[in-house]
Amino acid sequence: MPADFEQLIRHHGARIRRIASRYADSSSVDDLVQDILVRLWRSYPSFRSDARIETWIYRVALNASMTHVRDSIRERKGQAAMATHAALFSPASTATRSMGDVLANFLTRLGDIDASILMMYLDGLNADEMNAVLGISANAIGVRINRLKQKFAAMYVD
Amino acid sequence: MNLDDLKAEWSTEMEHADQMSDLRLDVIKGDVSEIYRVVRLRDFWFLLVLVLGSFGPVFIHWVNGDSLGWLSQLGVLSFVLASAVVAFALLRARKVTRSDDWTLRSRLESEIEQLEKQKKLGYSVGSWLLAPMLPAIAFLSLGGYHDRTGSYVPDLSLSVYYLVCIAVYGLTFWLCRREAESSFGPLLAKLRRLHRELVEG
Repeated sequence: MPADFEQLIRHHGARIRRIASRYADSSSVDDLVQDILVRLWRSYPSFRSDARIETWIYRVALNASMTHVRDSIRERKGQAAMATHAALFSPASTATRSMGDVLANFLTRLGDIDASILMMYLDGLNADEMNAVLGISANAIGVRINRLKQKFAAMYVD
Repeated sequence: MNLDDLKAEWSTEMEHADQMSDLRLDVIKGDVSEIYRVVRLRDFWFLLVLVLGSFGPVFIHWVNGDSLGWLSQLGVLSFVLASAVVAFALLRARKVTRSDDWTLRSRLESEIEQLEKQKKLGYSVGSWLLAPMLPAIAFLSLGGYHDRTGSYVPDLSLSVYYLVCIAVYGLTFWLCRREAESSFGPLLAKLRRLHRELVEG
């Protein structure tokens, strides 16, 4: 295993874990992280250094996450119900929340695809880079980001 | 506060969160080897079954030589052809459109295509497995019976064998269709929902 891969993974570890924790419940986050690492390792030889590294990580991590989502339908039904319940009964006022809480709460309340767009947006990926990850047009991504902004304002801005 | 205010929080989380100190590099390496080992093993067993399924009757024919009647020979031929049809159907169902497009959309479409093919395979078990195997088994069993007794009229034991075969056929047909629906139906629905969520917003 090349040292640069190890270094790269260590540097982007938090990002990988954050993505995994959005798509897996707490008991299977480690498994999903491991699956993402395996896929990154396998696709590492084909990674082109002219592309932005975050784009490659999102592409691989989201593919692994969607496979995980696919394989854990039953578990996620319960998890989603609990998350919705928690979200509904937690105060939406930003005055009582830290930004970290708001971020975590908003990610939980979004659909799987919208959550992925939000994470990439917060990470500074532009519409073309998101297009390279998701395969939907830059225009469509722009529309969805605007919708996310409106949704966020409606939910958290007093 | 607006959505862009979360960027700073995200950035902080990326910098200060656990930097993968528990990275299990050996496990990654092992997992990769395991994936390839499982694929190789699966392909080996798959091919072995196909080869035995196709050449077993041919071997029996070769051992028995001219003592096999025309019906048995027809049975051997039918069995080989039926095995080829089954192998073709299985391989075709595994084949999916591959492209260099590694976007999530492309991967979802590829997964959906693969699952749809597997579901269709389960539903059409009558046409690719049961129908080709039916004449092969009928010819082989009746041919063998004729070679032993000289009669084409099945006795009680052969009739019972045919009844059991029909029951097994019926059960296989029902189980495959049920399995196709219960195994692939919910997964397909989930993937289609994700695909719609991605494409239509």
